[in-house]
Amino acid sequence: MPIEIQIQKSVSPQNAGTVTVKLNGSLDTVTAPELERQLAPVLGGPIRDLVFDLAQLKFISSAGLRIFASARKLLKAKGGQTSFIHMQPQIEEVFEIIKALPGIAIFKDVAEMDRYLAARQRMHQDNP
Amino acid sequence: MKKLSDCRVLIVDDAKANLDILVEGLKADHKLSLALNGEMALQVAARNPPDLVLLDIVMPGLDGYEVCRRLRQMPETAEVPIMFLSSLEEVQNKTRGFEAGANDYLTKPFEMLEVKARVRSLLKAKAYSDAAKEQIASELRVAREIQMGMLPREFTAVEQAYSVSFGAVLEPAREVGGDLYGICAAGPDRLVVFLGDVSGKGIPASMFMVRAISLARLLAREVAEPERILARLNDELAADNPSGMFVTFLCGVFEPLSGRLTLANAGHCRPVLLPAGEPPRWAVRNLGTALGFEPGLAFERTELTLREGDTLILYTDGVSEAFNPQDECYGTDRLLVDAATFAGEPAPAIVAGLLQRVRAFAGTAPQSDDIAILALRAGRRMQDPSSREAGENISPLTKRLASA
Repeated sequence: MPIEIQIQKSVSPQNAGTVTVKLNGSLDTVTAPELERQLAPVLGGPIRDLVFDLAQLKFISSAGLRIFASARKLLKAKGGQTSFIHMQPQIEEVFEIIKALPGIAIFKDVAEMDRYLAARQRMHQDNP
Repeated sequence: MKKLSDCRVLIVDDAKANLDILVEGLKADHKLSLALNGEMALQVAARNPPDLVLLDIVMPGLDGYEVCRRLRQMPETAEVPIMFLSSLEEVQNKTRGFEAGANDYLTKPFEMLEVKARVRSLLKAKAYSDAAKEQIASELRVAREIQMGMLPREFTAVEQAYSVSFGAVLEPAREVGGDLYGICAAGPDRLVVFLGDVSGKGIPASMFMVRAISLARLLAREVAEPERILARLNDELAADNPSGMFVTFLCGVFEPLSGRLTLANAGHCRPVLLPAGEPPRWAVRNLGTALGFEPGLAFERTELTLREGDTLILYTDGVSEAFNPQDECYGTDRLLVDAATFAGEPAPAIVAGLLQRVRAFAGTAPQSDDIAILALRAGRRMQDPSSREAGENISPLTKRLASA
């Protein structure tokens, strides 16, 4: 199974620096290098929040997890966060092995994530 | 590299006159095979695989395009250079030839000098790529020996000393892989077992595997609790890990005097406990975080007691995620059901039996991931040497292993 990758940069001012990556298909040994290649310029650019939308991700192998973990590491070093939304049950199970890492957040959907990000922004504004 | 004069050229043409010209031109430089039609060409190629094929297109029976496609499907000739020699000179014919898998296309009438030059060029390119492949293959064979040499295969001494029995198997999907296991006699009442799975497969996974297994062996002797072995191993692996590799890892410490087994998990598949006379169950509930991402992580421990005949089965996801040709997964449910059928069997029989079940399930589907299984079966509870006079039941071997 191949993978489709859609990368969107947020245009709204309150979400500046947020990049959403939608994955559709299977993230495995064969397809992981393609995601790594496409993520490299994104991670090298101005970015604070990286959001993976996993609604259509059917399968993930350890090679796929490695890409998520490296993105997390890079972003965390810049003070950013890597978030995951719409995680399917079969992905959730594999995800156990990285979900407790600092710099990773998992949200049910966009609404839940936006509430979190808004709260975080307010906190920053109150305590600059 | 193979000499050009040792290379065999298969010439396929239904016109005897054309064959004669080509034979005359090439016989001094190469070994030759001849075929007068497509069927014959396939037979000759299968019997005596050529290093290059010169192929006519318009022939009675199978045409050259079809012969080319079939040669590409045969393992012996899948990569052999194929050059069409045809009077069809339209660009569509040439394109079709390349689409069928050809490497070159020359139109008739041809200059013999040009045929010879192209034949030499194609053969040289093939010889170069063969030599490069052979070098990689031979290096991988040695790498595999080194890697396999790091895994314990002979358990008799440890089995006697700790009143346990072991079964183990490890089969990489490629020549080398990222699965690992180890057994360490770490003290008179402390036997450490571990099993892990490095992310990815092939050479990168195997290099990280060597790091992980070497460190784990040292730490198993140095650190008492399995959760602390994991924490230390994680700190070491995460410290210098530019490629972001990780390893899922299960570590257990068995104390044969009490039967106590302490397990700690770093993101690895849940191990199966196969108790004597009871249905199998998961020996550990939590998965935990894998090793190598971030230093400073802590791990949980699970304690259980093994009675005589109870067996702990550790395995990698090459087992639970083996796929069959219908793209279905073997899965953990099937693993528990299959494990139950081996209750009461010796440890090596359980391992061999499970491997065979996974193989039977996968059928003709290629092995997609490395496979490792390690079974530890508790034997008769050992007596505490301190409660016995002069330790009469302790074999010299136990003492030797314990003091090692």
